[in-house]
Amino acid sequence: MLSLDDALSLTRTFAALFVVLQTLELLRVRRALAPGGVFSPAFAVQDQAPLPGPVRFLLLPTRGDRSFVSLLVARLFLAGLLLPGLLMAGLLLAGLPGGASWIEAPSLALGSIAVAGTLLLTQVAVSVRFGGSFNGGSDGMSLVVLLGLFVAALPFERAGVVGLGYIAAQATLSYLIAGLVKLRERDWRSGRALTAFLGARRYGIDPRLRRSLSRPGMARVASWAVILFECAFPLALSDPRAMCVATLVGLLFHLGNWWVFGLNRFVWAWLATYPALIFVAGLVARP
Amino acid sequence: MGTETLAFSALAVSLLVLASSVRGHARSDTARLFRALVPSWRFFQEIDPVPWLSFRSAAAGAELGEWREALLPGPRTLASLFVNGEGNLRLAEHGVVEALLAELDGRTHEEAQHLVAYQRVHAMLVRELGTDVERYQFRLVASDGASPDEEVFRSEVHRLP
Repeated sequence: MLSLDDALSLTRTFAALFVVLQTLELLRVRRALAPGGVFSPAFAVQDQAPLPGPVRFLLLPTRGDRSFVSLLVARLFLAGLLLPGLLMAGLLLAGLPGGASWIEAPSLALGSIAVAGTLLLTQVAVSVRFGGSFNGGSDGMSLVVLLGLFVAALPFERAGVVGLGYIAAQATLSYLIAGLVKLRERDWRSGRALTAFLGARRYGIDPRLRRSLSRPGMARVASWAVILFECAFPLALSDPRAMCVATLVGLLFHLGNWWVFGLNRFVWAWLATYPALIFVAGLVARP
Repeated sequence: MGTETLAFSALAVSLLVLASSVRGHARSDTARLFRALVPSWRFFQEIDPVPWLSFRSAAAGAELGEWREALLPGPRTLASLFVNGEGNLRLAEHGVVEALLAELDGRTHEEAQHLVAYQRVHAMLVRELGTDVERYQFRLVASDGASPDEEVFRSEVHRLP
């Protein structure tokens, strides 16, 4: 249903999008990276002190506020080169003739090992700069996508399939493991866990929304909807059309999480995995 | 079942085993710094008491005022779907508060002040405090959404330079 080239091009485009958005966010709050800030260079030096010498050397650009900002701007430039691909992706999805070949040329920039590798290494560096992670799970999935694209750029046969397969495997596990963990917890099955998380003040949830979602019946229904979606997600790998539906539901799920909890980065990081999922579902369903 | 399906299944099982071996808190400093490379995919797993940071301050010659909550989240906007720097920074700062709570276990006030997480909290609060502040104090209050809030740590009164 989705060819290897199209899946790679779409993944590269969505990856470029999340790199740009994440980098703009960090540049917006760069005061936190300056001396005296909560993620100042002094704290980065302390965090990285236990690391082996060669690793500390490689992470040197992350330990200064100006050098780190320069690193962020470089990431912006590298990924920004691909933004025209977003327009090209739209042309492909609209089914216009020649859309695939139009996408391929701009995607070559990231198709090269150097660009893919640089984005991957700098993504790791950003996480280390923030003591291991800035935004939890979305950092993990961003690294998964960039690692998959790096593998896909390597010069060996079926590199593209391996790279997309890795992304699809991790994306599938992200739903399955999350669902099984919730299924195992009594508080999740009863709806109490969702009510408790909705009450966490750190997310700034609208009080009316919190009250409506926290009603016992509604909380239990919502909890089971999430559990069933996450646990059943791997079944969609059996058919690319089913995977299209599953990823659409997934997108709505992540948009809902953004609206309720403010977790915007998850939307873009998981969106970048969907072309790989649809591609792999096509491979699995192939007779 | 085709070769590719078998290979994909083997890869998925391997990654599942790897993810299952990752626990909530990395054991070494190196593992903690690179934990994003091995995600565990455990989100909102259990209801743990979540620490909330609050503070009170005083101008020169004045008494400490009322407790105020720190790190209050901003409003949700359509723009925040795309770029939400302040919101994500707030969440990262809440992570620092959680790290402090975990590291405080059994430590004295003097020992606590040497913790990196303690110094980060100080840096956060200095930004929130007004310009006329001479002294401040912070506390951590644990809340699980069901039981009453419980104060789990109160700092000494710190004097700003």
